[in-house]
Amino acid sequence: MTGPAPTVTAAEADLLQVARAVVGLCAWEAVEPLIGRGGARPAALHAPAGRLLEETLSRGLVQMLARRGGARPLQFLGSQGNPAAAGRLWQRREPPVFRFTASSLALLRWLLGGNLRSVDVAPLRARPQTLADQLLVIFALDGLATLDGELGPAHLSGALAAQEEVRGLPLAWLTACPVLAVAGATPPAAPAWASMFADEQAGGSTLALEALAPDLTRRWLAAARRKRAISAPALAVRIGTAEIAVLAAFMEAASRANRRDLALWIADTGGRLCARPLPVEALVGALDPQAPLSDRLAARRASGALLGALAQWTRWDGEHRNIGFLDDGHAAAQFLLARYEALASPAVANARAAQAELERLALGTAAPFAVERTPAP
Amino acid sequence: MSRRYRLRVSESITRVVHVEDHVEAALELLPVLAPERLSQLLAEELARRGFTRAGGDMIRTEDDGTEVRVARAEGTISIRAQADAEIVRAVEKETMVPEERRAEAEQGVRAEARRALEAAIDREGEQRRRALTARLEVKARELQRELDDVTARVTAAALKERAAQLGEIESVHEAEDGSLTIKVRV
Repeated sequence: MTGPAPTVTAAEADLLQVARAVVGLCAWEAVEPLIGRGGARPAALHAPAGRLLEETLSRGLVQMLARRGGARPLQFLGSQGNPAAAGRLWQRREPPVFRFTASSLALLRWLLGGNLRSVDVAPLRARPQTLADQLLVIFALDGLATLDGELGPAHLSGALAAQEEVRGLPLAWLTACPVLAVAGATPPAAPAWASMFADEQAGGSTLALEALAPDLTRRWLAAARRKRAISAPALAVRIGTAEIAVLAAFMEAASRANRRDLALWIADTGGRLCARPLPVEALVGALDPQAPLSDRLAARRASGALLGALAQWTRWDGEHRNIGFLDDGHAAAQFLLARYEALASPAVANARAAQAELERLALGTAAPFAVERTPAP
Repeated sequence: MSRRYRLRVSESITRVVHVEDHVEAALELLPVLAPERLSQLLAEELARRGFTRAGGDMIRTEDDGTEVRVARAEGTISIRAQADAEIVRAVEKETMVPEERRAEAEQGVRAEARRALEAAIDREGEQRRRALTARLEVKARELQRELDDVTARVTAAALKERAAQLGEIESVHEAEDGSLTIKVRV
């Protein structure tokens, strides 16, 4: 038997509707009239609305993570550093308990607040405290980007990306690097990246990294495709430089935490991008021919972020090959070797050739050489 | 009613505009010998091509003033083109002003003329930079071929030296595509 439907105020209903959009329970287009239009914002929620909000966000977040990749049977390293059994997110881990703080409510109120398309957007002033808070931010960024459209300027997502509290989130950089870079932000420093691999109680993001791995591959491949449409060297440099910094910082932090498995999505992305020989035009657009040559060269070099990250994976692969049977970490190394071999190994030669081509512009590399050794009779 | 005057103002600006552009790339040399020896082989090859030593770098200045610099320690090559030009622009403006606003109007017209001249000089500077960039692009393409050749020769010399260290060289075959095969009896 169900009780009477909870009663909420009109302002609370709007906020709940926006919450549903953020966690994918309704289309963003349905809430577009509510976003950034300066409507009434509930200062605090009454108990029924509070309960509804928590239930909506918890349920929606789990569904969202499952949809973005958590439902796929994947395999990662377990707590002892050995390969854990493959399975879907909920088979590999205990059911997550998401804790939403006042920061999540502040985000929803901000979305309902002042004109996000104006140059004078009100500051968010609510730093995400928990993984759940962070996930809401990145899904809100996605939703606002949907409303911005593929071709239009990123006014809405840019407004959120420009917020100090969002610019400091490594997870946001992994999921929306171009948007943050265009908003003028610079990636956070090493300690923030290291915090991703902390315990979940301490705000670590390993659960999200496992669940979103396929989604991250999809996003970075899409970002690589979108870069082909950029003609302004300065913009290409801004995005590319941020991508290089983000991938390097993330891989460094993952390696220090002995969780290179959580960077396998990079090998996957690089492997897919370079599955076939890659012409320069697949990485960088037709840059403004009137721009200085130095700017165009810088833009071309910056467009090879994924190639550089794949080169780093190749160096890791070499290290994994040198870990002997009796050495610590042998099982993990064998797991990483096998995964890398399957995901990216065939693409390495194509990636190297593409990187050399990007570096080249007008200055070249040497012709191939071979040394054959004839054994003494 | 005040009398109206024809106000004619002449302004001119002379400015020296500096434009430059450059490209830089890494020299891809196989590390088959010690870096010092590779660097020495590179210097010898570059010297044969008209480069001169300047500290640790090798420099050659092209006929059009483009400077090609090879930093041997870093293994990079940079090509820099630059030019200075004196640009003179003059403009004459004429307007009708009432007598009591003559001084104020003259100031305004002069300021407007100077703004127009500044903009014209900026446009001219940008045009010169674009012309310089176009020249550099052509030059970079030409130099690319030469540097491919330099890299190939230095690497070939290094490989032969390395092969000789390994054993007795039986044959050296240089194919038309630039590839090199050295057979060594060890």
